[in-house]
Amino acid sequence: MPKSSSHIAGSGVALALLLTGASLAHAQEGRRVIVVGSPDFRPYPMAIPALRAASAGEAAAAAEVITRTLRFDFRIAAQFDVVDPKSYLADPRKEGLTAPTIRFADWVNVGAEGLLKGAVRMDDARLVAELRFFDVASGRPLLSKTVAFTPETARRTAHAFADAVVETLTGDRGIFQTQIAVARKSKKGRELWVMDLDGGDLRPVTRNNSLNLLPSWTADGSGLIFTSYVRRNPSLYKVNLDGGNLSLLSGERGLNTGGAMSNDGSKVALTLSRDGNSEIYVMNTDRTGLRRLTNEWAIDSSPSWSPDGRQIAFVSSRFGDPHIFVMNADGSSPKRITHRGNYNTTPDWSPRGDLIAFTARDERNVFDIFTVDVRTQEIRRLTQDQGNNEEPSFSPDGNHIVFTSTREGRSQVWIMAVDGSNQHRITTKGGFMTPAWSPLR
Amino acid sequence: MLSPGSRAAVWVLGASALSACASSPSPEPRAPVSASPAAEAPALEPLPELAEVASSPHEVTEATVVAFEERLRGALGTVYFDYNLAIVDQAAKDRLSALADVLRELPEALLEIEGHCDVRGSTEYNLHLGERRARAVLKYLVTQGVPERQLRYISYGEERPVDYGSTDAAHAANRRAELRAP
Repeated sequence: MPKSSSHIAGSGVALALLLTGASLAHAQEGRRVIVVGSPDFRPYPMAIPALRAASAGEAAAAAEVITRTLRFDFRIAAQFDVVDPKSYLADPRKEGLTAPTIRFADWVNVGAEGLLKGAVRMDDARLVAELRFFDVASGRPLLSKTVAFTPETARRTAHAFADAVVETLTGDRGIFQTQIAVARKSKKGRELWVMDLDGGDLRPVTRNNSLNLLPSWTADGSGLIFTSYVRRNPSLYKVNLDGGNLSLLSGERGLNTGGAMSNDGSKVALTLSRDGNSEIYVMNTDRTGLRRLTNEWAIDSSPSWSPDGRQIAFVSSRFGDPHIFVMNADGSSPKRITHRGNYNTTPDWSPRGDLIAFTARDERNVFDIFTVDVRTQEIRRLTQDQGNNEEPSFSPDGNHIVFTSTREGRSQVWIMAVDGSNQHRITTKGGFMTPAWSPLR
Repeated sequence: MLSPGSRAAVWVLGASALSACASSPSPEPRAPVSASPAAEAPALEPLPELAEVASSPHEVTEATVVAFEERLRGALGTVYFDYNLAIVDQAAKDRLSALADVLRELPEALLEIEGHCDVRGSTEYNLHLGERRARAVLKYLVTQGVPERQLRYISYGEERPVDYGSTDAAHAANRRAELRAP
């Protein structure tokens, strides 16, 4: 866990422990509600023994991929912990996939509450996975799937099952099939890329050798909004994930940046400098109805919608240093909500509505990720003493944050829980900037 | 007549700017190079007698343009800024005033002002800070009588540093507005 902040959060604020607790309340019909952030929150411990393969070769390789992917998913998931596979007591040669063949006491004794098991076989030259999820205490199977797949879809097959497990257990949709968009340094500029949550299947969206910056997602997750210098002036564009259907959203003179689509897909907030100063505007997604929301001598930029579309968080330097502000979606009642530090930027409003994540520069000129509670203005520090950590973006379930970190040298993409715990690098190469987490599709 | 390609807004700067501009496609600096852009800017080289050359710009010939450029085109200039600020300091103003003289003499010359930031801080905020720096230079030139139609500006934020280091000197070299002939 990160230590409490010495600078931004100030002294005397008991931070981290509030969020580490777990609450696993029983809801109706055996559904469980796992609230990351509730006082008694404790992650749900999941045991994931290696999937068995009926044969060597493709089946064994696929079993390995699915095992690794399931463990990755439940490790990064804030609501879960993976019980250390080295501690497992059960004999993998004797245990099968059906409840009568499983000694649940062995899983209780290693601290597991859930058990994911599976096997992969070849069936007429097709790969088939049997996947099971058991409640350890009762020994009851809660989910059972038989899936045909290919070596290329092994990872996504695992993500899909992990999502189904989360939904079975909590009633909420899992996030393991979501994606991350990033800008990445290239030889001639910056290009946009999209990757899976685990860093897999990294694929280019733009390839124009220009500067392509600040990707954000369309509300339906089918495309990206971004700023590009491809026609020289830094204008705002929309593009499909496969790079097709490039269209101009805003080509005003000067900067057209920070395009953010409201959750209902009807409006785009953006920053324009066309009137001689950087101000926040809103327009309809079809480019009509542009109107200006701010009117300050300073820089106003980086709009982020509240999930209900009624408010917008943004950065303003109207009091000198850049700070995080919130205003109504019509521009009324702007209110500063960060009061510590002197460089707070990149607000991203949680899909749950309660928190805004942002980047702050601390007194040692190091950048770290913080959240501010919109209602109480309580500040929480999520990263510390680990290089520069910047540009946070919430997962659609509000439990996780993706960000960039230089803690291992080059700028890589990392994911953490909303309380700052559970930090994992998801990329293997460097040069990544401004990650944006996709919505659920 | 002047053709757009032959036009250059030119500004002979002191050594400090040249050192930070080493990666830009500018001619070889004539002045000695000093280590830090924070160093005090040396005095300008004397400007030629522009009034004689270009008091009537429409009579300027290619030969006089070439002569003009050869005399003046030592380097494309750079203005430096303090952290998170877009304020043109007095030393830069003095040099910009001399540049404004040139631009007024050559009303068909165009100048592009590129705003930049150091590599710290957020991508989007730095785009806007870089544009603010470019516009601060533009505004000063306008106050010195340069018609706005001769001026263009663009911000690259932190995307095009001249120094990839993380020292204070590197950051200082990157916080700049580059003045170029478009």
